Amino acid sequence: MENVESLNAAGIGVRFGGVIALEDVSLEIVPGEIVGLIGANGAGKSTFINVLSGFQRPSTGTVRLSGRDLRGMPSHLVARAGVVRTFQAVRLFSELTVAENVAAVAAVRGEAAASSRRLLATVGLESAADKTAAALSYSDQRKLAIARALALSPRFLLLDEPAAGMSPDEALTLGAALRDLVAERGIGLLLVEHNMDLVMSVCQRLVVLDVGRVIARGTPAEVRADPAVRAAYLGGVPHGTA
Amino acid sequence: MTWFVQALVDATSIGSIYALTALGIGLIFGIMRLINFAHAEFITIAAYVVMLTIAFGFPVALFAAAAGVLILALLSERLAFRPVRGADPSTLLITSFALSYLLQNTLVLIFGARPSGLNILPELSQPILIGGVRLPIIHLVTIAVTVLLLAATGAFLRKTRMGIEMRAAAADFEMARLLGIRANRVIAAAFGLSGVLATAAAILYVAQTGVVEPRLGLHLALIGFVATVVGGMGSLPGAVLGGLAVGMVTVFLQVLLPADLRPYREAFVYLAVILVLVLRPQGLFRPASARERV
Repeated sequence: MENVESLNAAGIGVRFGGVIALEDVSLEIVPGEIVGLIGANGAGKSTFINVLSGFQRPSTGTVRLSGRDLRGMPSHLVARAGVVRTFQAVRLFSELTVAENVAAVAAVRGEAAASSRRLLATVGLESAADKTAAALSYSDQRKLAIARALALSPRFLLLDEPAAGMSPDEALTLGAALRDLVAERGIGLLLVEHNMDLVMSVCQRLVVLDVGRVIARGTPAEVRADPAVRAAYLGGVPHGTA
Repeated sequence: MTWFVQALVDATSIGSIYALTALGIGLIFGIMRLINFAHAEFITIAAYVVMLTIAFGFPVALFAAAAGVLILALLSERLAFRPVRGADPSTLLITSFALSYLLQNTLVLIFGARPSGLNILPELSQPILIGGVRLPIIHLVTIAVTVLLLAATGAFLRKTRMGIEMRAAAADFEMARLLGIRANRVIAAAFGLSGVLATAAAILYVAQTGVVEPRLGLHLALIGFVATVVGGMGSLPGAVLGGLAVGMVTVFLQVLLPADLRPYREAFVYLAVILVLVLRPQGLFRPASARERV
């Protein structure tokens, strides 16, 4: 078990004062799979990503990367160990060009400029390489954030709402890119996302959070059919998006 | 017309020195959100090193000053600023004041508070005649050296890995660190570069004024700080343009103010600064992209 590559969170609990943000959440991701984490706003999805990426020390539970304990490790070391995240707020280096945003990171990995271009191609931004990051559209900024995260050659990638602000078509393209990415690089992907079309089409497994607890897990079809999920979450979303 | 060309060259020359100072301060602020008042002493100490070594010839003095201040800047980072990195900006500011006073008073202790004369390159203080305008060579040299240094700094920041990492760190330090950019290396490099810029500013300034004293850098650093604010905190081109702008305003006020108001020139300079801050609080040259997103 210890030798198998995986990102494993077990029994994660997070309390802010008296408020329970997460309680007993367990989740394992293995290379080559896309796991979706869904739930209403405030369900604890971002807090969970914060825990996995070392931004939030859990009150209880453990996070292990292929058997290695990540709990209490500062976030930049977690990233170096192979668990890289993106942010809802994107946080690009806005005054740098698109290529430079990736190159700043690829430089760390000692990769050539050519590989920066290839990363941009992965997310469909190669033609925008010389634009300033701040000049990109909202959805292109999210794609760039993914390319930049990939420049670290992660084993596990945690995407916090990558499709926010994207049109249905753009989200579809993103979904295809994510699938290719996982297939080509053999990384494990955790997708936190509100766009149900995207989640349902790319994820092999879903975990549903509600008020900090896991209320369902399974394949997209199983989760969609789960009455508890419908009641807590999907029911609130207009028909057709679920 | 002659007076205008003379004043313009004067203004560009002094503005160049302000620009180099502002760039040195702006670099560190951009990355660490530290307003490094000890930059003043980086400049002063460069001038004293030149004074102590000029007997061995200018190239030796130049090298000694650059190397000395580079080491001083790296030591300051390691011993004074790294321990408080990530503390809130006021702690950083107070730390830089403390370091500044420590270095300044050490200089007073060693060299005394009185100014000493220092003629770095006497041949440069000669004027040359260009189209009927008398221009001190040192002004032209100052402008040329500054243009070269700014171009070199720009190329470093755009073309080298370290430069791109430095700009990334300036844009979002935490994110840069998260993405694996080595914070210690980038910050040390920024301090090193800032030290080199301080040395250049010191030598050009002393070559013009011919005087070295323990508070020499303070005047420049204060103006350099004002220039970064006027130019737009966090923008390096802004810092450079801000420095030039302050130089321009200072010199043209000197020329254009009625004789009995000239002693109050500085008051008018700072009045202009206040006006800028009231009308454009984000600074004159700060690009829209640099604004915080909400």
